[in-house]
Amino acid sequence: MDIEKYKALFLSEAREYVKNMNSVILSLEKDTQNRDLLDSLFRHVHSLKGMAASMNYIEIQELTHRLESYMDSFRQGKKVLDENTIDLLLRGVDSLSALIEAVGYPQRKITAVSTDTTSHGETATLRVRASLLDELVDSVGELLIIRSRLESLQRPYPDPEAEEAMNALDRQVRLFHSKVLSLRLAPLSTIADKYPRALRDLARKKGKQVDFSIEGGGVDLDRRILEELDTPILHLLRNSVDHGIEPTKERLAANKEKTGKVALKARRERDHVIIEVSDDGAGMDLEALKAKALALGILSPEKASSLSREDALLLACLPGVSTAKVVSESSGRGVGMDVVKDKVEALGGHLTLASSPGQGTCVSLTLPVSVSIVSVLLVTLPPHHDRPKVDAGKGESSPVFGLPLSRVEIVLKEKEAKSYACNGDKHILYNGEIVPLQDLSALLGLSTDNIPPSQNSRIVVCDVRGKRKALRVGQHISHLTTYLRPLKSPLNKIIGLFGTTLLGDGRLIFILDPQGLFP
Amino acid sequence: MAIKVLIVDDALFMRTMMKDILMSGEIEVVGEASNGKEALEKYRELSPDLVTMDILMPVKSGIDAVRDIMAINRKARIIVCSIMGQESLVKEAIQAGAKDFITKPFNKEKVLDVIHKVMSS
Repeated sequence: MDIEKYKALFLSEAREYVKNMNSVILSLEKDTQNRDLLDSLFRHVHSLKGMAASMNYIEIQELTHRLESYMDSFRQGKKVLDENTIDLLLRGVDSLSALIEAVGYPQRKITAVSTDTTSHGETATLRVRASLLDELVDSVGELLIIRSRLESLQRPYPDPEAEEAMNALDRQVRLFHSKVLSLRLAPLSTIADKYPRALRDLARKKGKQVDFSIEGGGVDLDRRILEELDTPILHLLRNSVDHGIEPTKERLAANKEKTGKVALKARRERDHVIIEVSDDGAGMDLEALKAKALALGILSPEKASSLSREDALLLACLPGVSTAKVVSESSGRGVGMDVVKDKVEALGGHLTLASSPGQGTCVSLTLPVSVSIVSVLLVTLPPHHDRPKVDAGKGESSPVFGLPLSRVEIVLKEKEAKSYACNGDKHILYNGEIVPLQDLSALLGLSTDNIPPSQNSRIVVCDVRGKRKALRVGQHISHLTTYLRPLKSPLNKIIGLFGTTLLGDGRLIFILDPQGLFP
Repeated sequence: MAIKVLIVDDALFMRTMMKDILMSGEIEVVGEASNGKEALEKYRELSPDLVTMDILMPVKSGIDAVRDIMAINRKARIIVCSIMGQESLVKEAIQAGAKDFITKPFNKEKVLDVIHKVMSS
């Protein structure tokens, strides 16, 4: 029998067993007398032994056999599990994992798994090569662009039949789009399953007692977002264990429970997923943050005194600012929060911080469920006396920009919005709230002198990191669901740009990122 | 007519290997189950001629599943799959009604041999 053809299957299932062994051992650590858990661990090891024997992997077979024998004394009640035996079991599983990887190919990137029901009522799953899914999304994106091109070509020649065919095409493309997107979704647990073990080891190393919990592991996100989020989330969790949770002595002195709590929670809210990393540790020291930012010269003394609590916390996300007194390897030497924030924003999300002294810290990441296809609002620049003809080939038309609809709260007519100056800055009153107003031309670095109020100008109220900001634009043309072409280096370094897309008439436009645009 | 077999094992890897062996021997695989409880449900639904049954499985063990299947059909043909060193469990399964056993790693000729032997008995 040609056993080589079973290698890929062996690897994927063996890795799954190792993952489960780790999680069972961590549960056993909390509940050492639980016989069901011990039996379940034994079964995992035993199944792996059978598989290794079939593949003729002698070392794996040998090690699983030894682990079985080691567990026997606990299963027979001759010995009781303690911290050290748990450590030994974990090390055994680590060695197993290393042996498995040694026979295997390099670990694959997250693969989306599509689930379907066969005629027998069984759930059939199919593994799909990750890059194929990327190619599919690209194809759907191009279809969307071709569709809008067809639409604009057809517009001058109204024909009910052509219109009907166009509508049918539209429906199919949208259906195809949503199916492809759902194929790319994978649950948060795909990356989160390894966190309990990583945090347990870090807590042991730091001599801290930490209880880690995951809620919402089943929440789905685009595979690419998950891959990009893996390191940032792990970084935040490590921060919580390393810098958040106090040493046991301090906790006891502060009348807190001996065991610190760290939690990873995820939930879906409309088009977004909210991921929270929280701890019940010491909280962040606002004054120390401000002092550090002052010392680094990135904050002026005047600004320091007027800074809101929330904004002061965000100082931790500036490069070089960290309240960690000790440089430690586990949380990357105090750098990191800036990287986390940048990564989240590059994915079209935002980060907020909440912290209170003695109570703990919560970092909240708001992320889109998927990134590649966006709905955008098409707007032009505000009218201007001597606007340079940027778009020379198109005669009179003003350049068009896209704003992601997920960031737009409402579009107001300028003449209906009450705008007034306050401390030299312009504001509008919206929903009883004073919202700062900026001119799109100004934000893009174009001159804004002598702008006449215009009949057609619009004000777009955007959501920028959970706060409202108003953006004065020219005309609101329409909105469009389109494929976001990510920017490549060096254009991707420009803050405020999300990507580009093609309009139906073939024009290439920039999609702006309101979060990056507003200072 | 081809022999209809139900394969029971918690590891997809082992089921796949067994399936390939059976198919190469022109035996029809009518279903698969990943634990003892599922095995009983599938047995009721599919009425296979023979069952290959792993012993250590979650939810319900292979030995319990042998007892359950024998309770609904005392003529059921079940072969247990074990690893070297599980002699006492194999013995228990045989007492519960299993007709024979095969050991992992599976040897194609041995597996087909045991199946035909059990079928002709």
